[in-house]
Amino acid sequence: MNRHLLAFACGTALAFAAASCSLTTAQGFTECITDVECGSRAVCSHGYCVPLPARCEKKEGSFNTFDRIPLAALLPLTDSPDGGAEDASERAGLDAMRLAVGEVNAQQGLAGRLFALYTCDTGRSSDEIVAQTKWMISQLQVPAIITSGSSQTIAAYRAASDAPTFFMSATSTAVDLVALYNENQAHLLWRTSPPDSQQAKVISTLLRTDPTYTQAATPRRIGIIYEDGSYGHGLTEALATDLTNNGKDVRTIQYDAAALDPNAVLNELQSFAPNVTVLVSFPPAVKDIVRAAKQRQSLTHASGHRWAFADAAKDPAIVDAYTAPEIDGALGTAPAMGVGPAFRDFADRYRTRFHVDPALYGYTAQSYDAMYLVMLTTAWGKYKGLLNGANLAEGMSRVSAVGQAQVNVGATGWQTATAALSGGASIDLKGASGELDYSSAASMDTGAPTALYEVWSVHADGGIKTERNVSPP
Amino acid sequence: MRRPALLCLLAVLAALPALGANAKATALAKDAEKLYKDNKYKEAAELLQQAFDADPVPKFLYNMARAYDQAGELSWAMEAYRKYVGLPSDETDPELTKKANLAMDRIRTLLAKDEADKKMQEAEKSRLEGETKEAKARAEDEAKKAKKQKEAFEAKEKAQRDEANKRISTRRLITYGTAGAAVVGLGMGLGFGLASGSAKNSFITATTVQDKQKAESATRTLAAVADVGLVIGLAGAVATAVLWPKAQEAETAVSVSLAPAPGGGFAVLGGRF
Repeated sequence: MNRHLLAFACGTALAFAAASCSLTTAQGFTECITDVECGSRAVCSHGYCVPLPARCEKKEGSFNTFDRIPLAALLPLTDSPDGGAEDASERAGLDAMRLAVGEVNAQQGLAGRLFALYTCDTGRSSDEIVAQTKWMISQLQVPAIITSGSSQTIAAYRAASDAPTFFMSATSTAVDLVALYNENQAHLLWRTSPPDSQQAKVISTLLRTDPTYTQAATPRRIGIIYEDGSYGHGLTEALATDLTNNGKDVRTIQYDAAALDPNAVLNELQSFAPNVTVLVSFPPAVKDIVRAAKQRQSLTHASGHRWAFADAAKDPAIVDAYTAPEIDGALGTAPAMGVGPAFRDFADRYRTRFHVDPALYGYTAQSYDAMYLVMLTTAWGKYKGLLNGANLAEGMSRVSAVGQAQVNVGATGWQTATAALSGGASIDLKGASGELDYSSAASMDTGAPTALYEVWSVHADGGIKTERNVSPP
Repeated sequence: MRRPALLCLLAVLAALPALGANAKATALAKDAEKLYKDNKYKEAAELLQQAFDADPVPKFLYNMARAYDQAGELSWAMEAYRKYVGLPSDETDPELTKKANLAMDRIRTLLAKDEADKKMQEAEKSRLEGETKEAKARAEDEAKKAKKQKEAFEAKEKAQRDEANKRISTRRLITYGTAGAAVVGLGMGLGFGLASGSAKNSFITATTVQDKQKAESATRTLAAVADVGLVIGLAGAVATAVLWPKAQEAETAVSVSLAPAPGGGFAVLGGRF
């Protein structure tokens, strides 16, 4: 009997010891309060440490406060998700955003709540940006996402169709985006650059009137090589239409960025024998195409062929010893940087922090403005009681109110601007990239500001120089 | 007393030839005399009867009476004496007649006494028989009562035993029940505890908030079930530990009890070993 009882007691003790694991497993579900506790490769969300997707990181801002306001920037920092070449222009734009976040957090953020910027490299992949967008929304509950490039912006916007997320882009200029802007009554998609329909007119005018292209003879045949995608399609279509309407013979040649064969493109171009070729392309493709064209006599600078560039090509990286003779003096266009005190302050702070002139790259000021606009709209969201995409998007209608207090983007105007917006008032924000006028009828229909364009030129010494600012005709 | 009687008889017998009795009777008388001397009184009396029958000499009758008297056959002796005394006085010896009368008185007294003794014995016998019968009836009655009591006691014992067995069975059932609950509870605790641990591992390795929430919920649910099982198991184990010895103790208990039985008490030794 005692033996049985002893065996039973031992069994009970063993079973208890094994079963008592349950007493400890039901604890420890709160893994974190802030991101810092999750290490460099994970974020803290709902008390859980959630690993960041590949190519994403905690880039700028406060990651050690429990009430940080998370914002995401999904940018094609490289041209391939498999580790492509870095896009210096995108990197410059990201730095402008980091500068903005740093300045605002130095001002104690939004009434003490600091901002945290999470970034991802999309590698120009639609699949990547879709996955990253979904992750940022579902895991981090970001109320706003900043994107770059029209195709990427469209893909991200579509991926967020189930969640009202505020999208802002500094570089997306495709005409297709207008439709997306108007697709949702909340107008969730906004930009800090004017639409490409305006740039197309600026480029067309430039090709027809600027001595760089008319000095020898008025160009009759104009080729347009463009990257497949919303940006390339939209701008090329608008440009081709305008040029055709102005009596030019136009040949458009499309290529796939992921499988660019410069010779195939140039074979078609060479058969067209253009006087001028506009590259609606990004820097890596620009370099490859120009390099290959140099091998073809009819497409060389010496033979009279000239290159022109759209905004995406504005990057000193396109100039090297081999390409410089071919593109020296060539012109390009891009939404203009500001010329007022807001831009000067931005440029000074940018140079101080990153030791680079922001004017060397396109869209740095627009990126800076985009980041500020997103953060400012959180003040309106605070006024509305909830920092969600719809409230932030609604805040865009409060930042460009004519007749209200003018506030320059930047650290000095932050407190004034957020105080007004948090109190339900409107402001008239002046951006580093320009007026940031969203109040005109055109802007209200597109989600993009009316703005000046700059004409920039390539110099053989590796520099990019802003020649002048022009208004779209 | 017999010696004088013998002498008398011998004298009588010696005088017989002189009296002219026939030879057969005389021979019979002599034989009777011889038997008489040998203390064979009854045989002597029978020979004298034959002698008297052969030759009705009164003395043969008297002597026959004496022989019967000596043989203890008092009735026969009394009859012979009475016949002798009833003979005509001229045929009898007055002395013998007197002796016969005396003998008859004595015998009569003895017979009366015998009768009285016999009656008394019969009465005593009758009394003893009655008492025996009564005692037997009483004994039978007591036996019946004892039997009834025994049966009642056995029934009571059986009822008590049944009750005890029932209690034991119930206690054992409860013990088995608590042991079963302990096993099931601890098994449940163990199973769900392990499942909870697995869910916790899923929680740790989950890469999304939603997966972590699911894993947390699953872990909490499984852990709660495991904890309930654990509590049940522990309670069952404690109850079993308390009840088990009692259940075993009752099973091996020895009980001794006393119960009445005919002629005295009896002991009942029961229980399981």
